[in-house]
Amino acid sequence: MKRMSVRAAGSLSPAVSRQRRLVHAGALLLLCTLGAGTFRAPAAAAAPATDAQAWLVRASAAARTASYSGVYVYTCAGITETARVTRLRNASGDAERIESLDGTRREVVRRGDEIHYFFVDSKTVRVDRRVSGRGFPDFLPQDPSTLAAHYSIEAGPVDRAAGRTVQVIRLRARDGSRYTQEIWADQQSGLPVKRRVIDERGDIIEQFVFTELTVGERLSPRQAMPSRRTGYAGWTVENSSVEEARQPGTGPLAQAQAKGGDAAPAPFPEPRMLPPGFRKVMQVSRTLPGHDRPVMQSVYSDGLATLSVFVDPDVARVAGHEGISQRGAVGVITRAAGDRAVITVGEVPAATLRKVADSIGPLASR
Amino acid sequence: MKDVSALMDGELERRRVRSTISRLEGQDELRDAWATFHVIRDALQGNAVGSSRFIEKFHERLEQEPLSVVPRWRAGLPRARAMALAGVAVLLVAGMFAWMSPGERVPPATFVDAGLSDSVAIEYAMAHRQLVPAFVAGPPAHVPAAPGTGATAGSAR
Amino acid sequence: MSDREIDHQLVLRAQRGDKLAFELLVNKYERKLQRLLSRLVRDPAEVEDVTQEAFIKAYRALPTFRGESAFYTWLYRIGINTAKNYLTAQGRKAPATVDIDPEDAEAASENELARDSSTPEQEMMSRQVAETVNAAMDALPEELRSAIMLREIEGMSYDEIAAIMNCPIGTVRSRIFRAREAIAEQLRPLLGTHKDRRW
Repeated sequence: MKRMSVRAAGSLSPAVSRQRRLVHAGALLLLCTLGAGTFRAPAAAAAPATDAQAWLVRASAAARTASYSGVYVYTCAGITETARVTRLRNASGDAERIESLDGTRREVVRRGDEIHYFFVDSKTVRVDRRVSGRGFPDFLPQDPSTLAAHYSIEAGPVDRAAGRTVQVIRLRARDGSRYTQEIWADQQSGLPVKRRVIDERGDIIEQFVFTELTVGERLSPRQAMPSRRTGYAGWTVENSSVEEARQPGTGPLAQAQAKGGDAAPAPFPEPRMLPPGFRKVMQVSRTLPGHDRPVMQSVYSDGLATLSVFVDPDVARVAGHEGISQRGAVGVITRAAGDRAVITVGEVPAATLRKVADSIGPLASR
Repeated sequence: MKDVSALMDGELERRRVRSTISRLEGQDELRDAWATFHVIRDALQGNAVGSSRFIEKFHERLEQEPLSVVPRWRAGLPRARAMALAGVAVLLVAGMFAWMSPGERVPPATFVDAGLSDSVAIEYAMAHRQLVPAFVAGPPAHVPAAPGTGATAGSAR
Repeated sequence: MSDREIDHQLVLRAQRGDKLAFELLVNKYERKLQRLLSRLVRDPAEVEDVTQEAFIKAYRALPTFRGESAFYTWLYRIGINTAKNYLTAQGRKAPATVDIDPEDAEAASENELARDSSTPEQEMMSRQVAETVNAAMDALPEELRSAIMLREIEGMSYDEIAAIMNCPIGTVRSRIFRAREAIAEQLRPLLGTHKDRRW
């Protein structure tokens, strides 16, 4: 039972306009604390910051800085899963734990940039790292109005979700090459408590929503640590790693490698065509469990949606698996190209993925 | 190679250490260099170089050892690395589930949705989602397990 | 990053399940530790086993290592305890030199070169390696030899070596590297490669 607030555009109740002033003040404050150089404060921006953009900024900052604990339900492609999440962030650190409440027993624990995935039923732990983004080219638009070039950012109604009053923010795709997204942001904390991805036909293809949530209350650090403290004897450990990488032959690292006598690897392919607004935001070399050789991954984004191109030197791995698959918001196209496998993955419509994959040109063989 | 030499002297720039160690672990020639350079060091310092099979035997023993630790977090939180500052769309807090439990490469036939059922596709979707949560709106970017996967027997890896 | 910090990095990785990182540490310290333990466990046929055991114990004790001391100091103490326990189990007693600090132990060891116990095979291998290294060193150009000697024998930092040799640090790094490469080239036939070692 939703309580819908119906407002004509432009007419605001006193309560909402007070909120609006608070949001602007809050957003400014957040922008100041986010550090110089990343944002121009809205007041100084050339493009006027709309309510919705301000909400988006606030939601973004809340997701990065808030401490909270809750239970959420994730739905996609006919599957529903429930999990408990606790995220703690304070002056001394940043940690998080997500535990599955149904399906196989899984737990993800992040401590700073280190991530561990615990698969309790199969007694396996996977060690990985989160790429913090430091040192990478800035992957997101400096200015919310850049996002506005490809999404129409609108403030929706005030609604309720997770027992809270929320503001709906719609990011409506301006073209068919990306999905529309909707975010329900808690009015009080700004934290996104519900999110939907909507395809070109208007169907909801992915959603998560909190069913319980506490924000900003005192949480015990234990809630963000692994739930089992001992008893890992006999577990299998899978190590993954991720490191920033460059296109071989460029950059100081490659030059140093060349001087050191290491053979430079062959250049890897990149898509010649990207959907409007997508730029490369990251390039990493990944060591994935079960792979002998690292896989190169290039990540592209329009600021909201992402897609990756993986180049796997082990082309035999994809034999018999070529094709296109889709689940929820994620699509995958697997192809063999010469002596390497190229896999294109993204939260974009299949047609977009296909265009990108098709534009990855013939590969030079080693 | 030269980095390995600097690494063993404790004279490598801090920011190159992690990647050098990773490369060292991953490349045979670098591991050989590390081993041989240390033999040279030991010879020069007067530590007898006896059996070159020490590490082989040790490797076999270590393989048999159960994992010594899974990291134990101390009561306080670690210092977070400063995140690159965000534009609008970092709405997310990282946190992920795998698409499937490890070792289970082929989903069960009961998977109702005709979508992503291919094992390779699933693996890469997972790899993408694991890296990408930083970009995606909303906490957390959840990637579900395939349905019908109850307690999976520990699959051999 | 200093040598101690490098060890610490490797330990951290090992603590996270990266066994290979631990093996890199074993590579680094196996001979040093074995030499010290050989002064306790006089039987050369057993020293290698005791040293292996010490490293395994160190691996198992990794959760307790907090980085307050240098890794080698911590390892050394575990080694001593392992050797003592072994001797006790054998009904023997450890010689009196047991409880000195690792730093002192190293200083003392220079006077005791002849007393390290080893099997004939080990001695022969040891001698061959030493001879090869010496011959390779002799064949090095002066500046390369000086650089590696200052580093490995005098234990100087690159900074200090640069000051003494009156050259930039980059040159020091390069000279030491090239010296190592040249010597390694001569050692390869003796030691075999990675494939031979069956890692």
